[in-house]
Amino acid sequence: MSRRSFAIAAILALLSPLLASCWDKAEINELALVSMVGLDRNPDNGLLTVWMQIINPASGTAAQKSPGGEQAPVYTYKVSAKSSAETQLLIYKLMPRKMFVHHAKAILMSERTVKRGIRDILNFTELMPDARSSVPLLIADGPLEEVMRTFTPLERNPAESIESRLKLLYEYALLSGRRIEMRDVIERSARRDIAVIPMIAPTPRTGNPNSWQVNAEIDANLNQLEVGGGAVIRDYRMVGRLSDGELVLYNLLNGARGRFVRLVPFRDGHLSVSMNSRGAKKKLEWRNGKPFVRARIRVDISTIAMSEYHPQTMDEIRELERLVERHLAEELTAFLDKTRGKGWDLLRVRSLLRRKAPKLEDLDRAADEAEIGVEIEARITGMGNLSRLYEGTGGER
Amino acid sequence: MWLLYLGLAPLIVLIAAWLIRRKMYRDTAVFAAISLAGFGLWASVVHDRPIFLNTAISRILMALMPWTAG
Amino acid sequence: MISRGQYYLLTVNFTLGTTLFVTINGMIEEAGPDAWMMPLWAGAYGMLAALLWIALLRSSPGKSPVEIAREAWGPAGAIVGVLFLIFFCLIASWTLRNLSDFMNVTIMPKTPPSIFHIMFLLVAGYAVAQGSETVGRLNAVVTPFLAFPFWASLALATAFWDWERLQPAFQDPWAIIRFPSLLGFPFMETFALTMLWPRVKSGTAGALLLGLASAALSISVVVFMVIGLIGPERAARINYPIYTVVQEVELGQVLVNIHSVLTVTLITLIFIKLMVLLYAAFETIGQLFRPASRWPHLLAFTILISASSLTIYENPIQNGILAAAHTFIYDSLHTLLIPVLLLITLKVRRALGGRSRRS
Repeated sequence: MSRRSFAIAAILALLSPLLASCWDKAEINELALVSMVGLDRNPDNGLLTVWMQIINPASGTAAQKSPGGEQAPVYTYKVSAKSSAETQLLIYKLMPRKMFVHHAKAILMSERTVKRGIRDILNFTELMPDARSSVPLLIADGPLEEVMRTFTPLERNPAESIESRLKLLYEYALLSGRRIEMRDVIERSARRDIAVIPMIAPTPRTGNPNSWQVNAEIDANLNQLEVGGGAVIRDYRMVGRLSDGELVLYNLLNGARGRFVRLVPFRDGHLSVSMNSRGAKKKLEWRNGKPFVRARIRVDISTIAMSEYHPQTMDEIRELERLVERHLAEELTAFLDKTRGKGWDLLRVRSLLRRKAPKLEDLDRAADEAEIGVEIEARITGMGNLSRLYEGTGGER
Repeated sequence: MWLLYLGLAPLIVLIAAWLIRRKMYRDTAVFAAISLAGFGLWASVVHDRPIFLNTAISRILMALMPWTAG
Repeated sequence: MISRGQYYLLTVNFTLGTTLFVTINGMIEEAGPDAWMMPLWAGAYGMLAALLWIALLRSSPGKSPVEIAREAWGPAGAIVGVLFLIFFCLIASWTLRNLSDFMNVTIMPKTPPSIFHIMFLLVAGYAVAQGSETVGRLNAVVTPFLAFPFWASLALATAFWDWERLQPAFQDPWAIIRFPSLLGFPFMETFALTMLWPRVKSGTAGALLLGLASAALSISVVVFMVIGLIGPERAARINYPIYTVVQEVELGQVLVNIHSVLTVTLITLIFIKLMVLLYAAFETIGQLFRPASRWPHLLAFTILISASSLTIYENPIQNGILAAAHTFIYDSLHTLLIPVLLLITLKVRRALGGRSRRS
């Protein structure tokens, strides 16, 4: 080898310590994959408690088949300290692996914590460069201690169970929205806007079942978690709660696209109308110098759930469409009146004014004074499998 | 600290000596100027008294300002 | 000799270099949803400054600004050369320090910053020692590997777009006038590319101007997307919003951690910026002192710039304060004042010389 080649080879060899992964490498079996995080601040002593649910890598299908190899799918670690930063360090008194939060699927917070305001917790999360704020936030309606120690049947990882339920609730029930992540709470609160995020509660318990017992029990309502209801968040604080029915209306007003069902009064009883929301548009108009918000919502109606009545003529179709439009508009207007009375701007009028009329002096007052007109556009587009219902006696009415 | 004096100083001296042996006197001067400036800065870092360059530039510019404005 | 296409790509990558993560946060903090307009005006200003440099370089064809300074001012020109040398070294240190700060804050918190500095300097030094062809060709080869993953990562993030974040629009289009530091950085630093000018075969002026325009447009699009994807409130507060944007990309719940792709793209862009600056510094001492050897001086630069990268600023917060106050003036001294004086000197001398010859 010539001197020059030797020199180059020697230099390359000497440079190899500079290959910089010496300091920051982390093997995957040294990592604790965090799947769900719970946060609760005790108002009496200011102590912050953090629960971390870590995925158990040995709980795959291979482990399940071996005798006595039933492992918990997740482990919950709990640590308490005065500040978020301290909890991050103290967790290593119990956890033997380095925390890896990139794959977390849900963050749970207790109701009392969110009612007092979570701005500092959110600041802490955004300061961490490796934590993602694009994770759904849920508020625990009940003791968080219980929620974080609950297994779920069918989908063994509680965080994934929650995540898939939120998706299904959005598509099939409009009981969950699209903007339910931590970053949405941060953005909306920073803009003085409103966010509604889902709530989660533990269902009745029969003791302290482990994962195998939960999965061997036929009653899937027991010892599990239920997602439902909405928490209204404004200025990083929970100001109120929406029931399931109200949550559907909120999502409808804010343009969610999914299926939902409404019981519409018809003749002597009710019709179960299954509808598919096609989005909402808000327009700002000015009447006598005051803002008027026109909210137009489009829904497609299907007769698939209408076991009580089936329109046969064009007139009946139009009558049904108008009926649904009127009923929905009334329901939505009543909902808005009720919630505006509580000071919740659930149609996000203030946000609309800020975008379309930014030069207004007092946005809050203008938002309070604004009048709202809800218009529904309903069309029958879908059908069930029957073209004519069975008649005769033996019905409920 | 020892790394600086045991590693960097000999490196500079050796290369300078090699350049002198090849009779590249101008090269030696240029090399010495740049690498000694670097050595000085490293020494300041190692001895915990770093010479912050942006503060220095800032002071120079502030000193020049009244002179150019006036 | 490098082609005009390579020179164009060098201009674009050099300008994009550190801008993509150093100034986006600052721009959005000052101008809110209209921040995407700031790079366009900054680019226009950069192109105007570039016209000045083109005029200077065309007045003495085949010479770089350092050689022109020697020609115009004789021995005093050597002092100008040294000033330029310090200018290039300082920007190189700044660039490297921005890089190590970014890496330490985001992905690699435990690695000592000097490792990044020395590693980059040694590789860049090797490339510079091979000459301008290597620099130009290396950049040309690497660019597709940078451009595609970068824009692909951003495109994947658009699933979370919301036009509401960009409203109210056009409230403050001239915001940049209030912030000269954002006007100056990075377009005035592209002066380093004028040291490569003599090595370009033809069409240099067009390549430079087009490169500046393309870079300005790219930065504007990136700022626009950052605002649309994470909103002005978060982007104004998050230090590296583009990293956050890609961090929050989720492709079918499986690909959730693609931000390391973006990091590699960004550090390669910074490497190219460093390589051009190192080339400029090396050419400067080459034209001032005409040394016979190459690698000892590049090693000397490694020693110097690795040290100055550690001492260029105390911490990112102090850097923000002082940079906002002084970069514009410092950059203008070197990239506007000196070229203007040189140009005037040359024109006057040639006019006088022409007259004396005729008489």
